[in-house]
Amino acid sequence: MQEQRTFDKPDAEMTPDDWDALSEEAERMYQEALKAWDEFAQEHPEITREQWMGAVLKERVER
Amino acid sequence: MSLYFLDTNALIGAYGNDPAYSWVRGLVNKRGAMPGILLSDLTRIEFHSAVYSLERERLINPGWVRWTIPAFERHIRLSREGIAGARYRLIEVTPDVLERARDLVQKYQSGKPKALHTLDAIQLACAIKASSMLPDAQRQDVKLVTEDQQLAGCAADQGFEVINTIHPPA
Repeated sequence: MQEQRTFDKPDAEMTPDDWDALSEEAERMYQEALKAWDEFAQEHPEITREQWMGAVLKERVER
Repeated sequence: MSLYFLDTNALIGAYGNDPAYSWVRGLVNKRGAMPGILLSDLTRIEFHSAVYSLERERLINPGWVRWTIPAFERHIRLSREGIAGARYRLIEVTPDVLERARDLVQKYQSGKPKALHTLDAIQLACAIKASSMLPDAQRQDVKLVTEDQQLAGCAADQGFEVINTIHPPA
């Protein structure tokens, strides 16, 4: 689990290679997130952008 | 060079693949030693909260949550000048930001042009701080990106060019 160690390392101990490894790991995870989103969107075409954003914006609404 | 202060609701669209968010996704994926995206420290919390809200309401699957949270956390960790993979610059929520946020809530107490709530006020105060850190000639370069109508109205009143995530500039 080299990547996890890189994520947990204090900044002062990070080498340029560690930062590169972390950046690559972030990119891979980001691409996986986009893939997971695509799968869900294909399975649930009935869910609209408005519903999605409505749930996000609910954080800011007064109760 | 334009700098984009992204509200949390604008940022979260970039972690999905909805074509409506292609503009903001393009912004987030443009990386460099000096990233052009500014985020409030508050977004570090709001982003998590919004993701879990989507999961609770079954508007997204657990797989997306499982990848999005660690990807975002790594992007935050990488948010520092000089890192090749950096995507964001973080604006700290300092005591002066909180004081400014309080002043903004007072200023917009009548609800005109819009009522400003606590989290909106902290976001706007961070955007003002980000702008004030720039040389005078560049202050107009900070554009505020949000889908929150309250924040958009007050940000425009504060002189920001406001961009709605799904109606970006051509």
